[in-house]
Amino acid sequence: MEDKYQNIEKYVNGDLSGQELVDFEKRLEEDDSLAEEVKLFRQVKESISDQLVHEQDEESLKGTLTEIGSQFFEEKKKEATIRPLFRRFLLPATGIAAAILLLIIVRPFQGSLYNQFGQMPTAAFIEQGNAQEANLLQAQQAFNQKDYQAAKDVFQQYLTRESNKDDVEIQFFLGLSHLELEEYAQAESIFQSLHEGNSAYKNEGTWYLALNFLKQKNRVKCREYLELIPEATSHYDEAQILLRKIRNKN
Amino acid sequence: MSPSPSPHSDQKYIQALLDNDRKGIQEIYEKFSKRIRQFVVSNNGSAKDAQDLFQESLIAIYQKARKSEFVLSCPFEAYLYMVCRSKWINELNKRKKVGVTIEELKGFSNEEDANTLAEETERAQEQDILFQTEFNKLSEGCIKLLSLSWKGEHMEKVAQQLDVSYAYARKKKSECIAKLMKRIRASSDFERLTRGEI
Repeated sequence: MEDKYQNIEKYVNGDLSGQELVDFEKRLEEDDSLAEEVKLFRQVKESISDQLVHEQDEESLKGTLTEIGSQFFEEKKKEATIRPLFRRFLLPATGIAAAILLLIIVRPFQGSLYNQFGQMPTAAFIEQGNAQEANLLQAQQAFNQKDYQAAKDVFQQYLTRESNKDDVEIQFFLGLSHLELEEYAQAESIFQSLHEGNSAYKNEGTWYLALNFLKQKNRVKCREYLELIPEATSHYDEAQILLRKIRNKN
Repeated sequence: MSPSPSPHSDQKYIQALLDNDRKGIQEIYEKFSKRIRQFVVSNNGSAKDAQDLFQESLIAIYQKARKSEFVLSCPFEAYLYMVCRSKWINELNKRKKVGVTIEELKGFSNEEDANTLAEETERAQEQDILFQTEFNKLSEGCIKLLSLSWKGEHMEKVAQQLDVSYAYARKKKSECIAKLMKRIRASSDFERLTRGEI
């Protein structure tokens, strides 16, 4: 009996050969309890080996899941860390955003969905009297006065300079200008890259990507991106309302 | 379940778990966590319960997927939901909340493949836990010896590392396996699991 498991393990590992293998297979056929034992042993060994081999990988994966999970399930934390980065234009706008939200809820149907939701933020990336960027100041004023063509030209020029090309804030406002000018492909490519990136404008990228599709009446795509906006970030509440409205329209 | 020739395009989520790929995993949470949270919260659970459940279910899926060639034949969300659902029902039973009607998420009632796959996943995990539990109850000597050997080390090397003779190591190993098999057969969970299937 002592070498019972030696034989079983050899058999399971494929290490039996010749007469030994023939004998063992004959016994397997005749002895149901041996066959059952082989089956269970195979399962046990595979299971334990699998756990031993992947122990560390599984621990690392758990680490990742815990970290990412806490971002998504712990409430109202994300916004607090993002907000300071947005303060240049978002903070003055949050009160307004709340008012707009109220307006959307109270007046359920006025014009297209895009007109209800496609609110342009106020550009405030440059302070009065910053002579170095006189052009940008003009572009900012143009943008705020809805002269998107003029604003766009300046933003584009500004971004062609090597030192400025990674300025996500100007990219974002260029994207908005394209959106308002109905240059959807250009708008999409900018918002897409913000959406995929990790800057403070990531979330803005997702939201305006959705609106860019909404304006083209592509509700399916619009929904897809709205659903990606994480809870407890700016635009989440608006996104939920808009999602509901799109569903009701279908 | 017969594996389909080409996997569902959501196979990428399985791959993300296997690779511990942050970006892919982030996407899993972005896309699917909200509805699972909704499911748990509307069925007597908290947001924290939902987080734990979501994580445990992803681990179960990962464990299933790493075992052998794994082909996802249905949408990932349906599969994930079925795993979460069954785990949550178990949890409610543990908390003695038996007989409660489950408030289902909509849109997954026709996912036969997802259901089958989720059942297999649950079973495989229960079996792993059972084997692991009994394994851990062995003597320290047995655990050491079997661990080295079953990680793929040759028995001659194992004997060297444990500073015993090759013949002794082989004999000892056979004894350890016999003990493990006996323990597993004697456990009440084994009976439960066997009655379920095998």
